[in-house]
Amino acid sequence: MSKPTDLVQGTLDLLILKILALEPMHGWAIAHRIHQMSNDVLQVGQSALYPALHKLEQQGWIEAEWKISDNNRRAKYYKLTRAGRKAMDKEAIQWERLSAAISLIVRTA
Amino acid sequence: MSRFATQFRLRLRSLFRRTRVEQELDEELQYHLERELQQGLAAGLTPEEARYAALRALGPITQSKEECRDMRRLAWIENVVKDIQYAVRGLGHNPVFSLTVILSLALGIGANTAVYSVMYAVLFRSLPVKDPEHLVQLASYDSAGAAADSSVSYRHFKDMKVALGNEAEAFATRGQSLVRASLGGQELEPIVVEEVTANYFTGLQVGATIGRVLLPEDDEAGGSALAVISHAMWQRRFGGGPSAIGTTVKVKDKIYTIVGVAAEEFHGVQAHNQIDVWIPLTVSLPPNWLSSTGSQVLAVMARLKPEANRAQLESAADAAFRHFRSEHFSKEPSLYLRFRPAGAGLSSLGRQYQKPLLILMISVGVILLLCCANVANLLLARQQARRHEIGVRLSLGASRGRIFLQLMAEAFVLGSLGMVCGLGLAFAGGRLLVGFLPEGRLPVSLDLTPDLQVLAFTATIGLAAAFSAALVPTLRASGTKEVEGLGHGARAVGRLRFGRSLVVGQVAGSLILLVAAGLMTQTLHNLSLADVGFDRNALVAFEPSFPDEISVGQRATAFRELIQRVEALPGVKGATYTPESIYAGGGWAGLAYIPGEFDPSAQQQVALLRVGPQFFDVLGIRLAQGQVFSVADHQQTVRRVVINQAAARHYFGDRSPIGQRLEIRGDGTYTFEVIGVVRDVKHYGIRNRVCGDRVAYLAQNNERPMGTVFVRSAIGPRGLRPAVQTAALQAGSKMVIERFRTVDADVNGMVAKERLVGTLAVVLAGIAITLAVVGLYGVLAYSVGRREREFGVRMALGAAPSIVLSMILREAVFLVGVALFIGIPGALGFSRLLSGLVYGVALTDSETFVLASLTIALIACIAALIPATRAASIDPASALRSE
Repeated sequence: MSKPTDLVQGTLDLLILKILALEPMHGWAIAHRIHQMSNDVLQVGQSALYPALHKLEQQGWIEAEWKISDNNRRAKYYKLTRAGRKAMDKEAIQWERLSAAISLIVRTA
Repeated sequence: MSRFATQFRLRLRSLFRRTRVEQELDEELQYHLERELQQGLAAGLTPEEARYAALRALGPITQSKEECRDMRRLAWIENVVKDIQYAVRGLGHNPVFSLTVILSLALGIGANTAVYSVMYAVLFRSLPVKDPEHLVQLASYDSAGAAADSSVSYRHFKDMKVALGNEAEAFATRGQSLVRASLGGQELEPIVVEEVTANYFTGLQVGATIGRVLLPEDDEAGGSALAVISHAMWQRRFGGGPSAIGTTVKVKDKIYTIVGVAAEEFHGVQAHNQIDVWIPLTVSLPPNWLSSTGSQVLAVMARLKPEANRAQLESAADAAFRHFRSEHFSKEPSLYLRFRPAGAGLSSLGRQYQKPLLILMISVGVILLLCCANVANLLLARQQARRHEIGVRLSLGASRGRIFLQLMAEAFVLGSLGMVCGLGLAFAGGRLLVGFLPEGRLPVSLDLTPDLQVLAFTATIGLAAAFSAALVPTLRASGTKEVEGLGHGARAVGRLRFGRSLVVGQVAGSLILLVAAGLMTQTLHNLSLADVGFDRNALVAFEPSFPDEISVGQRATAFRELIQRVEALPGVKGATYTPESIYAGGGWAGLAYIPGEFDPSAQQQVALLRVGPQFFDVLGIRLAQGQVFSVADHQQTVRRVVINQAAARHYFGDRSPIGQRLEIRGDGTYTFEVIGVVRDVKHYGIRNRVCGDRVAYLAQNNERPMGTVFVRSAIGPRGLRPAVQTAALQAGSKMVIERFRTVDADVNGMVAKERLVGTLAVVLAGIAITLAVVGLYGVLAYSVGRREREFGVRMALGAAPSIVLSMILREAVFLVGVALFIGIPGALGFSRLLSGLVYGVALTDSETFVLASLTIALIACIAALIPATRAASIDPASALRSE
């Protein structure tokens, strides 16, 4: 299991924003989707996920709404805000730069 | 923009709808758990296995909930509230500790607030008028730049008023005096009257509660005899009714018609006096005073227009001030004039007491530091005892930051409670302080109601004290290592080192105050023994007073009758009188010179003292040469004078003054024959030098006796008083005896500043030593407790109890030694502030320093003896078994 500290600082935020850019989703679905999309490499525990979600909501990057879920239960759905989309683009560019830089060192050194 | 609005809404929501937010968090996490469970079941696990897997995947729920709350940021407010509740509970469990800390803080905070509130009341409290910052006093300074505060004549005031023009409203006051008055024909207790120019109220911008205030035009055409009364007097005398307007008030034989009541909160321009009645000085002053240049009795203030050019006005007023002086007082030392901010009124008492109050402020500041040190020591011990608890909480995942905040919440609670108790103490202490201010002829009444500024001061020092005392112990405690805290033999070397340095600071601080107390005690002692030139023991003074309707002749008869009756009283050796109010800060001065040698630039001022029969005998003033006045000298106006030795030396050098002539300018210029020389006497205060100590005694014609009566009596003042009152009644003419007191009290009253600083220095030094001793005892007792095992081992190996005893005493001596090393330079610095207050003792008096150091060392050793004997009586066997 990947502990939150295993992810580069801020990476989880970017992943959440990216996932939510597709469609509004509740917490469990986000974790599930990250797991799936990373080919089972990344597993996000709730202990990292929910604090991150609450922080993003507090920052105004995502909004929450209670909706009926696919299994007919009330669930808290998160969706990206305009500010969130901007932040995501910025974070994504930064991530690209960072990972490119790291790859460069890993490959050449 | 909307993003911030969202954030704000969310934060408010998490603060005010906490239950709802908490429920939602639960529900959200519950949903997550269910989905995990479903997934497990779908993967073919048994419900039991699925549940276990789900819970494992979920991880520690409570912790992540806590983190979610933290993310909602307002958590800190909830935490603060919780921390405070927790702190209150925790302190309640340990009442002795809490009470000790609260009282320590209350003592320090209370003392500081008391001194500050008095200082604030006499120096800084704004007058209750509109825009007080635009008020200035036209204050004079001498060439050395020291405040001369010389009064000016009415003509001089007029000149300056004209010079200021329309840009500033200059107004003047003669100051306040306690006078007999009658209201609508009915005799009153003496009231406080202030004589002012009619534009006083408009200048200050004080309005009327009912009726009207004096207006500038009331001074025109010789002035109108109108009066304004204070709100307090209105309530007292008229019950707040409208009948006040139009009632007449008779002050000093003139009748004034009340036209209004001043605004409720206004009581004059001196913080320490409450005025009852204001009257226009153009009416109250003798007419020739308004035109003479020599009747310098006014203090001048002005309200500057907001847009006025201050510097320009100042130089205009200065020019007018100097011009007038150069025309009429060309021989006197030159003075210049400056605007002094007068938003707080004239504060003459405050300026006089600025330095004593500053000294006290520093002293109570030291006390506060000592209190803080004690509190820090107590907290350190408490935190030490809680290491186990803190260790447990750290292991359970509490962050160091949270623990730090929680412990600081405790400091906050202690500080707040200390503040509340301190305010109570301050109120009592402030009254006590005011009691030290000199009564003079007017009752001192200071408004000490704590207003926002004083409360802000208290809150600031209170919280600063509590937090600074708590900082190090709390940092220590929140820095506890989990394992260390949980372990048993927690060692605390740091606690000792910090505690020791606190004790060193405390002992040093108390040395500083003790030296100050020592210097001031000697000062008071010297002052009480100072040779005033007469026998001030068993000498009583009082002032006969008559209602207005008694004629001058009737007064004189009754006065003489009184003297005779008092002289006939058993135990009374003699009675006399003088019209001058000596020993009470008053006096009369003139010029004296050898006929034909008048030179206004030379030192020819002389204090003039008119004396009744037997004056020198009754006061015990010894004759040096010649003779004193005979009975016949008092029966007509004679031109004979008795001078003191200082005057004799000044005017006649080595020649014999007897039979020589002196021309004296008092209320007229006459030539006198010197008939005697008496020893120098300090009639005007022990420290005051008036007219170069030169005194000329003139014989008061016994046809017109008046002023203060002095009685030499074997009976104490308490026994004498009823007899004197009976004598006054028998003497007739509705005579009343006022200001009955001993001359010794009067003389002491003139050194009120020294008494204030001296008495409080002793009290504060006592408090400081107590605090230091408690601190020292605490540290040594802790040290002994910690080393019990070590002492046990030593004694088991053959160390005699005396060796252990001396070990502890040596530690105490070392601490005190370091403290004295720091404290002596500190005391040298602090005692410098006392210059001008000490009398007959050097500021660096080595005996005082040695004695103070020895006293502290001795007291410290006694404090150390208790833990030391405990250490020496340790039973090695039980000490070794205990661990």
